[in-house]
Amino acid sequence: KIQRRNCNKQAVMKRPKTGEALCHDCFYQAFEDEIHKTVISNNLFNPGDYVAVAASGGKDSTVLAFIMKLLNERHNYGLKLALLSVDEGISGYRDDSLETVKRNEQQYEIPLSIFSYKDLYGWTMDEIVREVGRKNNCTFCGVFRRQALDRGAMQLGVDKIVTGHNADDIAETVLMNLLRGDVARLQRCTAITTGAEGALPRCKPFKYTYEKEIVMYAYYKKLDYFSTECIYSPNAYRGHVRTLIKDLEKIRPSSIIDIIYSGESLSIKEGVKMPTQGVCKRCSYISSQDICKACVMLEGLNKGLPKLGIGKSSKVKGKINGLNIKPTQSDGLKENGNYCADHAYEEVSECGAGTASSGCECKRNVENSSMDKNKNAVQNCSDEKDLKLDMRNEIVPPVVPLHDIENLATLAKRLTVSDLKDTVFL
Amino acid sequence: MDKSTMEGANNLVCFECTQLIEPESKIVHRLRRTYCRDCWIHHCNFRFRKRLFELGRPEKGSRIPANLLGAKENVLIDYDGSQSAIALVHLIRDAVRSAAEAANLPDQKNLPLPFTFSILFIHDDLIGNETSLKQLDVLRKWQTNTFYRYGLQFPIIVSSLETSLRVLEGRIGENEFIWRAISSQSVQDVEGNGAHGRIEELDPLPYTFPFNSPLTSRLTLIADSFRSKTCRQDFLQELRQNLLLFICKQLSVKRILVSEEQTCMAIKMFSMMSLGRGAQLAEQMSLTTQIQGVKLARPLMDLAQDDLRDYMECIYEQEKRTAAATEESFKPLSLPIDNTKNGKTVRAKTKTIYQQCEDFIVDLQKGYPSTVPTLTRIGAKLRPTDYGEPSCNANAEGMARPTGGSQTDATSFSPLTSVCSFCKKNRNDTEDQESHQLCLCYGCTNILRDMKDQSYFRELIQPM
Repeated sequence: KIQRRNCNKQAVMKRPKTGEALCHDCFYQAFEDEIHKTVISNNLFNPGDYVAVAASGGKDSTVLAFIMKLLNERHNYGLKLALLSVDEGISGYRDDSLETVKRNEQQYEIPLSIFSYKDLYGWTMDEIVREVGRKNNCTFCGVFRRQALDRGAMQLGVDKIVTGHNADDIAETVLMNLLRGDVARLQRCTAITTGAEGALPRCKPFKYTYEKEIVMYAYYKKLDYFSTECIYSPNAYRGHVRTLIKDLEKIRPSSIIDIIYSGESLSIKEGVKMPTQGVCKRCSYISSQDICKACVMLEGLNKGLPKLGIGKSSKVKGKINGLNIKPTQSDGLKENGNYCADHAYEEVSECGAGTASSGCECKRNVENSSMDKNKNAVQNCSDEKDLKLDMRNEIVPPVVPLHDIENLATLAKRLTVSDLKDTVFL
Repeated sequence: MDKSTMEGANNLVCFECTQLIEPESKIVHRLRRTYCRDCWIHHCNFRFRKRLFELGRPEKGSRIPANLLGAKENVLIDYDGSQSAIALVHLIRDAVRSAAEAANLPDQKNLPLPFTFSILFIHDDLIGNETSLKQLDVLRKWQTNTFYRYGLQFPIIVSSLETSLRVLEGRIGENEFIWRAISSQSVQDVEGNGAHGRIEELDPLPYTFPFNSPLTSRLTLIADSFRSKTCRQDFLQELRQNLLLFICKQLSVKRILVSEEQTCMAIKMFSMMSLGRGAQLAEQMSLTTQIQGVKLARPLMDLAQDDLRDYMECIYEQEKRTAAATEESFKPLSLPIDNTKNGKTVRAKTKTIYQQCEDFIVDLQKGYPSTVPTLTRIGAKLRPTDYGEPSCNANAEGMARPTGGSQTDATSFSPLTSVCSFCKKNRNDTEDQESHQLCLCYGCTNILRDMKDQSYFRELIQPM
């Protein structure tokens, strides 16, 4: 019979972090106290803060919501809590997990708000994966979700966001940033609070909490959470690092905390070029580039160039400039439907049965026999009646097949109703 | 025909000499350049010597003109029997040979090699470990062959890992030398600055080390008291480094070449991160690391594990060809290497952190060829911290060594730093009491905690 040092009950489990043999109650106490200590020692919250808990329905966010409510009441943090969820539009995954979050709303009596990719960007992840493929889809999801969380939080008017990133996640991120050579992220990825200089800081109360312990806590407390992995995640690069972390943990359980400690100890040489924080000229979100990654990706998706957002923006700067992404007064995330002549040319060059020079196939079944940029390339499309060129402004409306005017399947996400009405036929 | 056209044709044209290569004898670099065997040897030699001469250049800000190198400096080569160490001694031998040949040529414009070399071999004398002694035996044969073939002298300095325990405890007398030097000639003083030891012929296997009798059991006792292989390996590595530095001091040698190549540095980065030694990482990823007045240099840092394996294969074949051309019986001058595909030996079932990281990096490199260069590149961007003398935070005023460049940094943002009393590397101040009292860094504190009997370790270090 193994006894814990402070109580005489029979131990039922071994803490993954420390190897201590504990009974249920002592485990709960140790788990909750460590998180409380993390909150207090890092001054994560101030009394009266309105805090949004990023909730996906998974184990981390479910336990986070439970713990935040518990500690808020137990230690009188004085916080007002809200649940904030993002619907990426992943069928068979996100729709199920959101049901879990809705139950959490009832169980923990914390109000819930859900923001969807479809509403914010006009695209779901399922649609994005169809365009991009399964290799780089996580890049889109990560960028869009980050913005979606911030935008949702701004709409709610919260002071802070808390996320369920645990010690395993942080350790993975440190190693991933080393592997990618990303010094800028390496410097800030171990910070427990990020974005403090901006409008909406994010905190990670689970920074020193092991994923295994979160799972065990959720299991023993019988919390309601959704335990399936994202259907698009198996191909992620992070999976390699995750496997390494798990293997290292088997050899030495403290290696996760050791990696975090090592990451905190790293510093970058003076003189190493670092990105400077500014705002996106289109959507005013924080960005180190003129146009933020989300806008670049979105523009690429809308213009039929899904790979535009993949990789470094500097490498595709020419194409981005060519797209003539203009700042919009309204919510810049919506598609404006206007294209420059270069883009029209590009659209058309991807159209048609394929010429010797283009070698492309039309996406909209519009034939094209000319690559002459100076002419109205659109005029060379066989379906001329569908198109009109404004020669003076060199702006062409998007191709709208006459016979397909009522079929908005391909066009709905790119055009508004008013755009359709403005389309003029020859 | 230009290079790119020829390369694109069928990838059987050497990038350097633009000659056609037979498919079975081509070497393909990770940048997808193809080399013939001779050009690959030349390429490796070039990359190595470039770094070697960089080491010999006067310090920035010194008054010595840049193109005037000082008198030849005696440099140690840290030989541990690994594949990269074997490649290192061969590269050095080739460099010395080329320099000697070039010196005899008229109108010689190349700078002379600024160093003379001795090979340091530390016998890992844990009971039951015969591999180390066999490695020494093979090295001695190589030394003799090199002398008789090329007339080149590479003295071997031999010491024993057990001695490092006495070094740590401060039980080495002022005139006591913990090493012996072996030359291919029977008795000769070691070249260099102020070396006092006499060279002796060692008996054939099994060797006895007169400065370390009886052949150890204390080291084995301490090594067996560790619970995990990882901490044991970490402990032995730090012991070895301590011994290396002490021998350099006794020999008045300021520079030692270590055989860490690019892949090894990438693996080391990951394993140091996993061991909690991130604060010490920056120094270990640069060309030189200065510890206690001795510079550890990494002249192989531009070459990866595969590069060196291919280099040794080319050397071996070159010797074979030479022997065939001169109709001599083939006696390889090169040291044998492990001929497995990735140079790995058979792994134990229970891995250490280092072994796990090694498998990870090697496997990831196959799928993502830019992994190792990216890691070494980011390593070069990390900021190193100055090492000081071992000291403890007990006296805070004297101990605070700012890591930032400005006073503002020092007072506002930098943690107190001092030097670990075991590994002699940087330690950031932590809240951990034990670490604080014993002046240990985070990584060495983990070593202490892993021991079943901590008194062994406490006796070794000198708490302030």
